[in-house]
Amino acid sequence: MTPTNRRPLIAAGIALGIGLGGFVDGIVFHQILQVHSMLSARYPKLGVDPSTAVVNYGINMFWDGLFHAFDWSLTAIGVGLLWSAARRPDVLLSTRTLVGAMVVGWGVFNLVEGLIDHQLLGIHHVVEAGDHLLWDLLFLASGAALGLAGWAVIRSGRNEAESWQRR
Amino acid sequence: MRLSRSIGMVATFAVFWIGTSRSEGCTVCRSESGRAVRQGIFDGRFMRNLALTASPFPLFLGLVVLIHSGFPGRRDQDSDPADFPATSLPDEESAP
Repeated sequence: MTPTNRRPLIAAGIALGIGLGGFVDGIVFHQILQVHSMLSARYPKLGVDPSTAVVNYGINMFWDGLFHAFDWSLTAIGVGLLWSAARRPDVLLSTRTLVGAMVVGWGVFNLVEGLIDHQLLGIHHVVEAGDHLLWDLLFLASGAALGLAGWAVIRSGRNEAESWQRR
Repeated sequence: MRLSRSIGMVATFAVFWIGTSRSEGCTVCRSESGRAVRQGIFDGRFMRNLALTASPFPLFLGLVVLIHSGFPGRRDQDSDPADFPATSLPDEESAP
């Protein structure tokens, strides 16, 4: 059987990309830079007295942990889908397709999370201090850019499928 | 025999260590701020905060399922998701 089906690999890559994109957000913005937390607009750490800030840190840490748990589940689903795709004889194991789908997944995470959490629900913003709109829009733009770049890489991966068919 | 004894010793030590470190290290167990954190998490807003935190994930899952199983009307397993915009145009044009 000629392996030409890319759909399972793209689905696996997008699930992995969303999960890993969520970990980038959680690790870089929540933990290393500490510019926001999951519910930092509702339980602020700035502009409150120190004892309230300490309590709000703890509350946000709990919800950050839950966010990471959901994110871990999605990543585990992605690993499962990738394993399932790798065992199918009709699926072409194309590096470009997988990497492109993961980049699309990262973009999807930034777009969806940015739209829902930052814009629609307003439970946190990329940078809580100062003018947060600019940072929120940059975050959305990064999602769109990643999505488009990943899509281009996926489409370039079609050449691998075509060259396989010509063999 | 020796192995099972070693495992037993390690398990006993682990239970003892986890038990003592929990009581000494757990920030939400004994301190006043810890109790305030626990009350702040498990109050009347818990379910709403849970829904808020989880809200993007059904969308993510739905998207992955949609791509894996095929877009509605294009459920053939051989169709390539990367072809979606190009191949959908003729169908739209031929629709009445």
